[in-house]
Parts: sequence; structure tokens; C-alpha cells
Amino acid sequence: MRLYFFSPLITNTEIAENVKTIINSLRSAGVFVVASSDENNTDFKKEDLERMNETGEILLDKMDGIIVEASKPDQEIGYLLAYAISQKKPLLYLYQKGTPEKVAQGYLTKKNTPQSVSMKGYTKSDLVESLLNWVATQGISRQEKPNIKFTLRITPQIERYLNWKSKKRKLAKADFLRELIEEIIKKDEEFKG
Amino acid sequence: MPATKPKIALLFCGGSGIITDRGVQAVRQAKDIKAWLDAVPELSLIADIEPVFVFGGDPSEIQPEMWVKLGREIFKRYQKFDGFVVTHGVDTMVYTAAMMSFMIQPHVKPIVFTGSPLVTTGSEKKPQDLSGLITDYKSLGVKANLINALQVATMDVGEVCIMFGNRLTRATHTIKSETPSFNFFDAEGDTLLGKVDFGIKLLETVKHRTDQKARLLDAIDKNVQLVQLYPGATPENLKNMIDSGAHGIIVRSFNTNLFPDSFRPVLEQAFKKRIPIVAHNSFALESKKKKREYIVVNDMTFETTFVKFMWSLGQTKDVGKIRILMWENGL
Repeated sequence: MRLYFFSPLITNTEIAENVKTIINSLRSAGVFVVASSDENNTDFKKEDLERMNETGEILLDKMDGIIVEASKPDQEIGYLLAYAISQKKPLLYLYQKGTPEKVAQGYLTKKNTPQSVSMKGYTKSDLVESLLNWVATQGISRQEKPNIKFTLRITPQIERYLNWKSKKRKLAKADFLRELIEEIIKKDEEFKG
Repeated sequence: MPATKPKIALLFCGGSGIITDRGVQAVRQAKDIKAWLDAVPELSLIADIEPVFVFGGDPSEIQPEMWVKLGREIFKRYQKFDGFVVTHGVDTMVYTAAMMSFMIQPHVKPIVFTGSPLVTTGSEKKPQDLSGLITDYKSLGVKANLINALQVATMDVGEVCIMFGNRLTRATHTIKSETPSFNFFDAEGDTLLGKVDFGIKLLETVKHRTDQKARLLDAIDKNVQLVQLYPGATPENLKNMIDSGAHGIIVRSFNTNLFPDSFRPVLEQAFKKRIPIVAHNSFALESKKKKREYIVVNDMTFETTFVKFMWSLGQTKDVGKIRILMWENGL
């Protein structure tokens, strides 16, 4: 899943910190984020970019959603909002509580605003939660972080096999085992039930 | 968004077809504007828009008189507005955009042309009739074109330009794209002014806004006729045009030898009658330019040459001055 994240050039330290938090939280949740501060950092291949450039496609259309940090007014925010609405693309309009921009607020409360556009005021303490809740509601799968340690004793034969397999698949042994278990979980109807 | 939004005049000149739940909706008459704007309320997020109706027919019906009307409507608002967006049918958009480049000078503010290839004739089509059309055209991003054009009109651009697909091109350098894609237009010589990726990115080639005072130079002479040279072409056709009272003639000529020798007497006749003849060929050698009998143009698109000739003839009847105007660059 890919999201485009836009924030204007910010001099306010607190908002700049929030911007960092937004990008880091999204990335930790397994979302590929193209940030306006680093637009060249995409996961498109060079030949795909060249093809899209030739055929007239717009990279924004290739994003699954857009997030804007709108605490500071910027002409680009109105553009992205308009673009997202016209293309029915999910957009999250984030602003630090106490700094909402009146024009967008007025517009976004109108009845004709599509459900795909959400406006959310945040505080430093609920920013990550607001962000990830929106990501979840958009059907964008959040990857759980494998942060639970687990000791597994194995036989020398299993070790030999893991060494051979991980080399062959160019995967860490732990990643290989995680993938294997995830596959089993996917197929386990009883567990799902 | 800034606290106060830019003021943009949106001029309807055809090419306004958008797909809505009710079908293809276009502005064919002034009374259609309100419903059209209601279908794209998101435009108001970018700018405060004043709609202006100019023309609602098919792009093939565009007449030079309409160019004058459009130029006057833009100029009337030139001081008060931050920029201008013109919707226009794709078939003749390049001609109209190029003409605006000559009519309103110098280029102080953005005048951005864009449009829709969707043709709406007769009554509104019902949604069920549109399934094929929507499949074919949804990705053409008609609304996206509009939004991109509107955004360009708010930016630091002092140009008449065309926004289509992911390209922003200078009106006088724009040619119809030969390969089928969402980019209907190309920039001659590969000189784009900007592109769209995650937003509008202006390139170094773009000219910026200035504080200069613009003038409206809307006199044009539409009595221009066109001759295409081909193997076996005889000078009679050209002679007939001279005799019929054409004020100017454009000849799409050959590459290296612009005219066959058999045309010399007729060209001499035109020169004596003070009827300017423009020989257009993008590949004509520079050394061919110094001809007394005709004006060689090799550095402009055909469409730009055509409208510039009409415009030059409107500014002066002096063949020497017309030659200078046709050779002047900077637009």
C-alpha cells in the first residue's frame, strides 16, 4: 500500500516533530509513504516512471491514499483536496487542534464531501492513534511489528535445513519461519473461526 | 490553503464535458454554468472562481471572431484576476491558445487552456448509455485536467499554456501528440514548462509573472488562405488565390527547395501586388529565409504560424513589417 503525505515547509518545531511522527508511524505500520519532502523516494521502477511520464499518467493516481498535515495554510493543500475529491481517493486532512484552516473546514463539513475524505484535529498524544485508525478504516493493511521474543530449540538437521533454505531464498532464517507460520495461519480455518 | 484564495476567471469556450452521475455534463450555453459548477464543487477549494461563458459549440466551429471575443473577455478582467483558465475542445485548442499569446502581450499572468475530448451534442446522455464512454475516458482525467489547470493559474507563471495529461506546454510550442495516450499534446523541441507527478512541478523553462502592463492587440485579418504543395502541384491554385483578393497566403512548402521553379512568376506577381506569402516548413534551411517574394517560417508550429499570420495582418498591411512580426521570437 502506498500513501502520499504532504506537509508544507514548516518552521514551527512542534508541528515539524508531528510531521516526523506521522511519517515514522506510517512506515512502522508497514505503509509505503512517499513524503512531499522526499518525493524521489518512491517504489516505482525507473522504466515504470518513464512509461507513466510518456502516457500521461499522474503519480498521485497510483497512490492508495493521501494524507495532508494542514496546520499551516498552503495552496498545495487545496489542490490535493480537490484532486482527491475529484478522483474519489481517500484523503486524511490532519491539523493540530487549535490551528484549523477555516476554508477547508467550511468546505469539508458540507454534505457533498465524499466519505473518502476525513478531517481530523489531533493533539500530540492522540496523533498516532488517529492516524492508524484512519489507515485501518481505509482497508490499508497494517503490518504488525514482530516484537515478541521467542526462544525455539531446534535439531541440528532443522538448523542445516534453515541455513540452506535461507541462503537459497535470500531471506533471514527468522523471516522465513515467520512467513511459514503466517501461511499456516492464513490457511487455518479453525483458527479464523 | 492560504487565508485568501486566488481569484481565477474560468472561461467556457467548449471542451467542458465532464462525466457525472447524470451523464456527460457540459456548458453549451451560459445557463448551463451553474449546474456544471455544482458538479465540481471541489474547484472552489483551489480558487475563487468567476465563470464566463464565451462559446459552447464544437471545436470545429470555432471562428476567428470568437478569438476576438475571448481575448476581450480575458483582457476585461486582466487587472482584477490572478489567472485565467479556458476550457476548449481539443481539436482547435492549439490555434486558440496560440492566438491568445499574440492578442494579449506581454504575458504577465497565466492563461491556461485545458479541456475535454468528450463531445456532447443534443440532449444529455443517460448514465446507462455511458458505460463504454466512462471505461474509455475515465482515466483521461477530465476533472484532473481542470484541477491541474486551475492550480497552474494560481502559480508563478507568466505564460499562455496548455495543461493536459501530465504536461504543461507553452501554447505557441504545442503540437498534437502522434501517439495515443492521455497526453494529447506534445511540446515542440521537447520544451515542457511543467509536469504533474504528485502536484504541479514547474520547470526552469517557464516564464514568471511580471509587473508589466499588458495590452490587448485584438485586430486580426481572417482573409488568409492556405495552399499545400505536393508533387504535381501547379501555380494556378496560388494564382487564383491572389486574384481572389486574399490578404495573405500560407504555403505548406517543400523542405529544401521550397517552391518548384514554375511558381516563380506567380510569387513575383504576389510581391508586386503586396500580398504577403508565408512559406512554412519546419525543416526549411535558414539560408532560404532571405527571399524577397515570400516569408520563410521554419521555427514555429504550423498552427502558430497560421494564427500569427492572421494576427500580423491585423496589425499592419506593410509586407516588410509583417516579415519582422513573423520572425520575431519571444512568445
